[in-house]
Formats: sequence, structure tokens, C-alpha cells
Amino acid sequence: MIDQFPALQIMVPLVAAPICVMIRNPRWSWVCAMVASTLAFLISIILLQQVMANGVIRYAVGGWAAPSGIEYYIDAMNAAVLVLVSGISAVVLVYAYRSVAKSVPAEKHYLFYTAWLMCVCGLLGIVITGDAFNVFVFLEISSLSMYTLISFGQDRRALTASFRYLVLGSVGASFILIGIGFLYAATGTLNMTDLAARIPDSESQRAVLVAFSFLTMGVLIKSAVFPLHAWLPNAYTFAPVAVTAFLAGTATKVSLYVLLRFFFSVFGKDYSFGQHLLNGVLLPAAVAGFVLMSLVAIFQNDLRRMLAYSSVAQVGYIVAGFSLATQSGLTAGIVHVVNHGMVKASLFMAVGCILYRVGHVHTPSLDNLMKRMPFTCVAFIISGMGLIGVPLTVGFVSKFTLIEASLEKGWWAIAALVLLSSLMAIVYVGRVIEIMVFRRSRETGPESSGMCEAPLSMLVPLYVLVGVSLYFGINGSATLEVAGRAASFLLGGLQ
Amino acid sequence: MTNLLAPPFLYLIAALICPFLSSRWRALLLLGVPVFGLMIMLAYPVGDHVVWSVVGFDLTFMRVDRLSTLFGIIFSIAALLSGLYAWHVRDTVQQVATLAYAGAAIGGVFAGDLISLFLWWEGTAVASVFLIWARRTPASTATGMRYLLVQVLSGVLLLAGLLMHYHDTGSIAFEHLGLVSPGTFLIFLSFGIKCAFPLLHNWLADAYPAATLTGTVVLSAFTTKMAVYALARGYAGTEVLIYIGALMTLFPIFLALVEDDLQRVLAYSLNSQLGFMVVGVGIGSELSINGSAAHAFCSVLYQGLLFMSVGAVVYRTGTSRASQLGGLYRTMPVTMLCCLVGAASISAVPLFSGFVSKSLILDASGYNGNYVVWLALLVASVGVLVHTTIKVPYLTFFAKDSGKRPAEAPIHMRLAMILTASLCVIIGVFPGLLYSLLPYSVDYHPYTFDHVLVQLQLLLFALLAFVVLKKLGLYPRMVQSTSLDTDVIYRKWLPDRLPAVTQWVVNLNACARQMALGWLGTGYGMVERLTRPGAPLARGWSVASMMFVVIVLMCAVLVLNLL
Amino acid sequence: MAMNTDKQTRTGGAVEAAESLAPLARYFRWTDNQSSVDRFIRILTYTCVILFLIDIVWHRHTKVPGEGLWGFYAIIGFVFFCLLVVASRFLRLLTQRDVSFYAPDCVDAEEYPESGTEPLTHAQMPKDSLVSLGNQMLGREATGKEPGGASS
Repeated sequence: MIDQFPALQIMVPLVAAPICVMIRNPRWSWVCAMVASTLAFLISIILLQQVMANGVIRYAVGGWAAPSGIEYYIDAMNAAVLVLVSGISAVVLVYAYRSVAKSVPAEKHYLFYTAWLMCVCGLLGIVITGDAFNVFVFLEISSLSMYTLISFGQDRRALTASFRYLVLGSVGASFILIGIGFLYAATGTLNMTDLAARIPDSESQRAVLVAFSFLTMGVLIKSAVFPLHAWLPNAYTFAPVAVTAFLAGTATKVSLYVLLRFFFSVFGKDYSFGQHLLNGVLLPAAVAGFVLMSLVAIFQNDLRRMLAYSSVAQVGYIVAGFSLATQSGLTAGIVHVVNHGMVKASLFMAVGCILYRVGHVHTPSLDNLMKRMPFTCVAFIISGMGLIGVPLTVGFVSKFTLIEASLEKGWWAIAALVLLSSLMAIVYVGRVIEIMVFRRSRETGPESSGMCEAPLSMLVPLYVLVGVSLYFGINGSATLEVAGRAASFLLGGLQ
Repeated sequence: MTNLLAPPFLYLIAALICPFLSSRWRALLLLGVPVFGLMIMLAYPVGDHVVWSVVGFDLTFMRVDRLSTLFGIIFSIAALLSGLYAWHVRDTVQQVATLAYAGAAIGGVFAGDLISLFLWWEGTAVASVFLIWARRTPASTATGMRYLLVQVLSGVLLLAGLLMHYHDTGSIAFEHLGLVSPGTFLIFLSFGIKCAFPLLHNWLADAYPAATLTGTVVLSAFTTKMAVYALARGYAGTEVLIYIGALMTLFPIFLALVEDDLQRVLAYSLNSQLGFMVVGVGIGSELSINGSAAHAFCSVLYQGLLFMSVGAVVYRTGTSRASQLGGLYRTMPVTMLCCLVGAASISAVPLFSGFVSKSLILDASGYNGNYVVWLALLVASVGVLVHTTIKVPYLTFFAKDSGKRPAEAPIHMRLAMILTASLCVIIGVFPGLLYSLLPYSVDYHPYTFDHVLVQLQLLLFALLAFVVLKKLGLYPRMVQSTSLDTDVIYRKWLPDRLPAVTQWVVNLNACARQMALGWLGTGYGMVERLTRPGAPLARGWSVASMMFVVIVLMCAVLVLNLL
Repeated sequence: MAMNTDKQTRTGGAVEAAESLAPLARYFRWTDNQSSVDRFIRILTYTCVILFLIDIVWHRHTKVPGEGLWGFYAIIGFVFFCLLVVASRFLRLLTQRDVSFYAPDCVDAEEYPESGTEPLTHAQMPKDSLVSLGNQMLGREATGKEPGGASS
């Protein structure tokens, strides 16, 4: 049974999705999605434990051996991402029940949960598979269901946002497909391990290079690296907030995982960062991203939009960490993938709570919110500190590692800019906190001073996530160890 | 116990008990202590005495040799004479200050190590300032403050220098130091302040006229001569002193010439005389050191005498301004005669004390081969004649009759002046008496025909020049005024400009702040224009522009990778 | 010497002179008399000429080159005296200021405090005798005035 877990990881949400469609009842379809998601989470934890204990797991789907058949390949790196994706999915699903009930018409709920499950399935598939073409397939599954999820948003602008994402996402996906095609042409294989082995000996290096370029661009679009981020702010702003929380925690992170997988495992570190001037594109883009997007975030008045731009900035940190191409840089990047996933998900969940009660998230109008929604605000403040990188939060662990890594490589300017953008994070998070906590309400009517906290079913998952992120903030070595193991796997190439 | 009778401590103890005596006994104490102290001083055999061990340092309070004894003797005589001169003073503050000041100066001369020297050095500063404050006017309080500031600065430099010197050598002994290290340089600077080196001299001409008329006499004797002693002890033969000294003899001449206040004129001429001694110390030969010591001895007497006679005039007329005096010989002939003796001594007229001491220095500098310095000293001798010998007695006692008919100086002042004048003449006539006290054995005869001849030529032709100038109406008439010295820079110009400078700094700060705020505002505006909601960076881009970015970046990646 | 002769004193005759002169001062009366001063100047000039002439006949021992020139010291004395006086006249143009220049921090601007002085005139003074001098010395003032300098 336990040998089949890699397959079950995908099959459980994949099978649960049509069941949801068949159930049609909002409540039961939620239960179905919940059960599937929880199962996937448990499976991913077990897989992580196995990987940490026994090393890499290889699973041949359908019994077809690697080069010809599809292979699932699990090392510390993707096991951690699996846990992240399925975990956030499970937690946010709990939260989604009330949130979705308010924002999505009841007759569409089963479709929502179906799309959710498909999305989870796609994301998990991208992560778990060891086959290049399979990555594209799962990417399409997740992307299509994501467009659907985003279009569930209340606002009509959600449709435009979804459409733009669709166009750009399709472009990205086709770039990836083109890249994989070139790779296949150059090497005659789609299995990542085989690719890694054959690329150096390939006779058509030019084809490999073109493949590399297309793959890079495609993945960068999907992971919303500045300046290819333009689809993200609107999508995050207008999607149902539960979807935003889920996507912010998982979607871009999975794309980043793909980036890592191709750069380090398939092409190899030396190829990606060696003579090919990726440094000239990726690092400047990342640095410009975290500086400019933090600046933009300062001036946003919509809380969701501010957090969306902050997400783009955080992606910048992660990519900057990857660009260092050292053990500590990779560790920093991977740790930030996990940490930022948790922090941003919890922040969006807190925003969802506010939206649920207040009906809007226009920052200047949130004055004196602390009186009315103390628990939500406290959760927001704790997570916000994580975003800034206050010591004893996860943000501190990853930013500290990132600065350490850039200093280790002697890139002082990067370290300075990271600190600078952290200062900006203080400004944009601090501004919200200042308004929430210290600014006196302009209309001090009795109705506005009463307490109206979000429902427990939203608060509990929120606090679970906050608690987990606090735990990893205080016990930073836990995540750092996994990330460090993953980084050394990546730098060592596929076994 | 007998240690407490060592002259410096004797003076200090007398200063301590002085306030508890009646006024007559206080005045007698001022006479008795110097006499008693001189007797004890002469009873000490040559060598180190009164050595006290304090926290691991052996402090020598009585280092008796010929040099220190010479200065001890002249300081005792000066204390006695100024005590007699101040017989009429009933002011306890001045009497205590005089005793303490003389004690500290004698202590400084007999100090055998740098630490005790420092103690006495500061002691003279603190004790002497009361002689200025005792005038009890707002101006004297301010002047005293300036004086104290400079004197304490000198003490602080000495302390810093001795600490560095101790660190370098591990010795606190006050022997020959030489300009060899930063520590000794600081000590040199400290001595230089008290010796009124050029540009460090302002305190002297500033403070001496501001003391009480008896206080000025006391002040003129001690501080600067103690500094000369210290230089002779620590820096004999330091060449730079020759040039400092030569400059020092020359430049106060001009300041004294234009000065209206006769006490300040005398202060400048004192400064000029110090230059002779400093040159002697700088040459460093036995002859020149003898000359410096002898000149210090004589200058205490004749400078004191001049200050006494001007003081007597102040005592009777209330002013020392040349512009308000004149024709006083009619009623103050004794003072006038004493003043003439002092004037003759300072300009080295044969048979007066200056002649027998200045010759030593002049000859030493001539033998030294430094002819420019020798000429400078010669010119300075003429200068002394211009600004002191002729100016002070002529403008005070002769010249235009001011109409003042003051009474003759009181009998004790007359006695003090006559005694001092007699000493000047006795030394002038019997130079052997002074020469026998000098640090090195002397085989020098000032009264050669040559020497007397050239000196008379110098003096009489200068006098002739005076007569000629007077006839031609070129000799300047004094008008009531203040003459500027270099200290105008820190007493007037800098303080006057300070508000403007402050204002300028304030304006600059405001300007800079405004500019910085302006830049910040512009920068903020630019950032905001770029990033506020709806701005290029922050609005939802159209599909077309997104695609454009993708294509541009794709091209960039391809080009970069394929190159 | 005294160009500005006090006419009053000269015309006032011996009676006033005796009143306003101290005994010792009689020997210096000539300084107020123009002809006496001229005689003094003549004597001074002759002396100078003699001193200058001695230089020709008497060979001086010299330490410094140039010292032995005829009238070296005489010239130095005369020339530098004149130079210094003339220089001081120019210097005065630069440095002379009103007495209140440093006021109130400088004694130039204020009178000497009266408590430290005893501004007697000659007329108020008793004739010097052993008794009066003794009285002065012991502070017993025959004039009945308090002795000066009596403060605190």
C-alpha cells in the first residue's frame, strides 16, 4: 500500500473531482473536497517522512519503467512542496466553506470545489512527476482550473483578470511546451533523469539552448517574476479571497519549483548559470522586482492589491536566492518558498475575514478595526511581521539566510537592497497596522464600535496557519534543514 | 617640622595666618617673612632637600644650587621691597595673595622635579590673579578671568607635557630637557606662555595694568622670571630660543611706543627685557646663562622700580595715562629721581645695573657669531631708550605741564623706591657683588673703555635724535586711546564675528535641510507618480502590453543565451 | 627740552614757586627755561661730537664685523631711534582706537578706583620732617585724612 502513495497523491484529488460534480450538493461537495484534500495532505506528510528517512523515491506509473513510461520522482525538495501545497489546500478549504458561501452563488459551489480539486491535483502533479512532458500536462490542468477559480470572483472584473491570466498563462504554457519539444528533439527523451544525463552529450546544443530559453520564459511568466507579473495583481485582487489565499500560497511557488527543477536538476547548475547569461536576466529582474514592487505596495489602498504586489516582491527574493546558485542561496530561496507560502496565505485569509465582515478592504477605511475584529487583526499583525521579517517570525529566518548567502558570495549590494526593501515592507505593513490599531474611527457610531469577529470556521484555519508559521519562525532550523537537504539534492543533480 | 620652614612653605604658612592678624601686623608680616625666608634660604647647603615621597614619586621641594639660589634671593628682595611699597595697603586679600604668590614663585624656583614644579606653577597662577581681582572693578574681574585662563592653560600644558615625558623616560626629574619629544615640546610651550613668547604674550600687557598699583609691582617680579629660570634649567642651549628671544626684544618696542597707558608701556618693556634673557638661555654658553640670570636679577629691580614710580604717580593722581600727566617733577622730585634711576638702569647706562647684566648677553651673542641676533639686541637697546627711558620719565615728570600738583609719594613708597634705586646703582657700580652670585664663575669686566664708550655713543646719540625729533616736532604726542595688540583677534574680532558665523551656519543648515527636503519631495513625487494606484507600475496592464513585455524579454533571453 | 613752558610759573615769581615746588625740584627748574634747555642741548651736542671723534683716534676691540666702523654705535643709536619713532607714528594710525574699544572688559575704559589712591595735592601735604614722616609711616595722618588703601 505504502509503495503506491506517490500515485495516490495524485489520484485522490483527481478521483474526488468528478465525485464532487456528481454530488452537486454544496455542503457535501465541500465535504468531499475536504476529505480528498486532507488525505492528500496526510499522504504528502508520509512521503516527506519517507524521503527524509530513505532518500529519493522513484515510482513508475502503471509499472512502465522509466525511459519509456512516466516516472514519479520524489526527493526532499518536492516532498516539501507537496506538503506545502496539500497542507495549504486543506487548511484553506476549511476556511473556504464560509467564505465561499458568502461570495459564490450556492448552485455553483460544487463546480468551485471541483475546480479546486483539479487545481490541487494539477499542482501536486507538477511537483511529483519526473517526466518533462507530464509537467506540461499537469500545468495545463492546474492552470485551466485556476482560471475557472478566479472567474468565480464576485466582481465582474474577475472575468477580465481571469481572461488576462488565461492569455498570458497559455503563452507561458506553450513556451514550456516548445521548450520541452526542443529538448525532446535534441535528446530523444522526456524523463528528467535521462535528460540530465543526455543534455551535455547532445549533438544539437543550439536546440538545447533554445529549449532552455523557452522553458525559462514560460516558467518566469507562470511564477510572476517581475516584469512578467502583470497578470497577478488583478487576479489576486478579484478572485474569491479563499482562492487568492490558496494561489498565493501555492501556484507561484509550484512554478518556482519547476524553475528549480529544470535549472538545477535537468540542465544543471553549471549550464544554467555558467556561460549562459541567465545572471544578466534573472538576477536584475529579481532585484528590480523586490525593490519596485515593494515601492508599489506602499502606495496601494486596496489591501488585497497591496499584498499581491508584495507577493511579486517576495518572488523576487526567492529568485534572487536561486540566482546566487550556491548552497546557502538555494537554501534561502527554498525556505522562502515555504515560509512566504504560509505567511501570504494567512495574510490573505485574514483579509478574507475582514472582507467577510466589513465588506471591503479599502485600507484607509479600516480605522479602528482592532476594536471590532481583534483576533483577525492580531493574526494579520503577526503574519505582517512575518512578511517584514521581524525576528522570531519565518520572514526573519528566510531573509536572514538570504542576506547571509549574498554576503557569503560577496554581493553586498544585493544584501543592502534586501534590507532596503524590508524597510519598505515595514512601511506598507506598518501603515495598515497603524490604521487598524491606532487611528481613531471617524464615525464613532455605536454599530461600528461593537465587536463583530469573523466566524470560527474561518478564524481557526487562519490561526492554525499563523501558529504553524510562528512555530517555524521560532524553530527555524526545522525548515532550514529540509531546505538545505533539498538544496544539496538540487546542486548534486538527479541520482 | 623644620621642613615646614623651607622658604616656600614659610610663605604659605604666613599667608595662612595673615588673615587673622591686625592690619599693622599684616604689613609687618609682609616685611618679616621675606627677610626670615632669605636667611633660611641662604642657610641651606647646596643639594636636594625637603624630599617627600608621595604615591611613589620623590618630590624634591628644595633643590639648592647657584642658579636657584640666585632667583630665590632676588625673589625674596622683590617680596621685601614690594611689601614695603605696599605698607599702606590694608586689603587682606592682596596681602595674602602677595605672600602666597611670592611663596609659590620661590617654590617653583627651588622645585627639583616636574610634579612639584607643576604645583607651584599653578600656585602662582591662582595666587596672582587675586592681585588683579583686588582692584574690584568689573573690568579687572574680566581681565583677571582672561589672565587666569591663560595661566591655567600653561599649567595644563605643563601637566600634559610632564605626563608624556614621564611616560617616555620614566623620570620626573627637572633637569635639562631639550626639545626632543612631544612631551618636552608641551612643557616648552607651557614655559613659553608664562615667559610671554611672541603671540603668547598678550596676557602680560593685558593683565599687569589691570592689577592694583601695588599688585602690579608684585606681578612684575615673579611669574615671568620664574619662567626664565625654568627655561634656563630645562632648555638652555635650545637654538630656537635665540630667535624667539630676538623677536621678543623687538616687537614689543612698537607696541610700547604707541601705548598711552604707562603701566602697559612698562609691561611691554618688561616683555622686551625678557627677550634678552631668552636669547641668553638660547645661546646656552656659560657667559650667556650668567647674563640671563644677572639680567633677570637686575630687571626685577629696575622694572619693579619703574612700576613703583608710576604706581606712586597713580597713587597721587589716579591715572597712569601719559596723555593726562606731565610736569610732575615740581612736586614729586623723589619719585622722579627714582624713575630716572630705573630708566637709566633699563637702558644700560654705565654705572647702573642694566649695564653690567645686558653686556653679558650682548657679548655672548656677539661671540656666538649670530650677528643678526646681535644687531637685533642692539636695536632693542635703542628701542628701550625710545619707549621707556625717555618716554616714561619725560612724559610723566616733564613735558607739557598738566597742571597737576600732586603731593610727593608717601614715605614708605619713597623708602621702597630709594632702596630699590640704591640697589640698582650699587650693582651698577660694584658689579662684582652680583657676579659672585651667578651660576658659573665669572671673569668679566664690564667697565672697559671700549664698552663704556660704545654704550655712551649709543645712548647719547639716541638722546640727540630725540632732541632733534622734538625740535622738528616729529616726536609723537600721546592721546588718550587704546592700542591694539594681537589679542584683538580673540578679544574683539572673533567674538564680533561669532554671531554672523553662527547665523551663517544656521542659514546653511536651514538651506541644506530645505534642499534635502526638496529633493526628497521630488523623489517621493517621482516614486509616487510611478507607483500609486493607476500609475504605470501599479495598474493592470492590457494583454497587448503584457505580451509586448514577454516578447521583449524573450528576445533578450534568446539573444543573451545564443550569443 | 620743555617747549611748552609754563608761563604762569615763570611770571608768578619766587613766592609761588616756593609754594608749589618741592625742595628737591628746584634743581630741575631749568627744564622749564628755554635758554637753559638750549644750553643743555648744546652741551649734549658737543658731548656727542667728542664721543664721535674719540672713535677716530681710539681703535676699539671688535667681536662683530662692522662694529669697528667709525661711529657705528652712534649711527645705530641715532638712525634707529628716528626710525622707530617714525615707524610708531605710522603704526599708531593702524592700532589706535577709542579707549572704550574693549569696554567694559578692559581697564582702559574706567578710572582707577579711588579707594586704592590718596589723591593729595602738594599744598595739602605737610612739610617733610622726621615727625611727619614718622607719622606717615605709622599711619597717623597729620592731615586728619584717613590713609588710603583702607578697604576691607
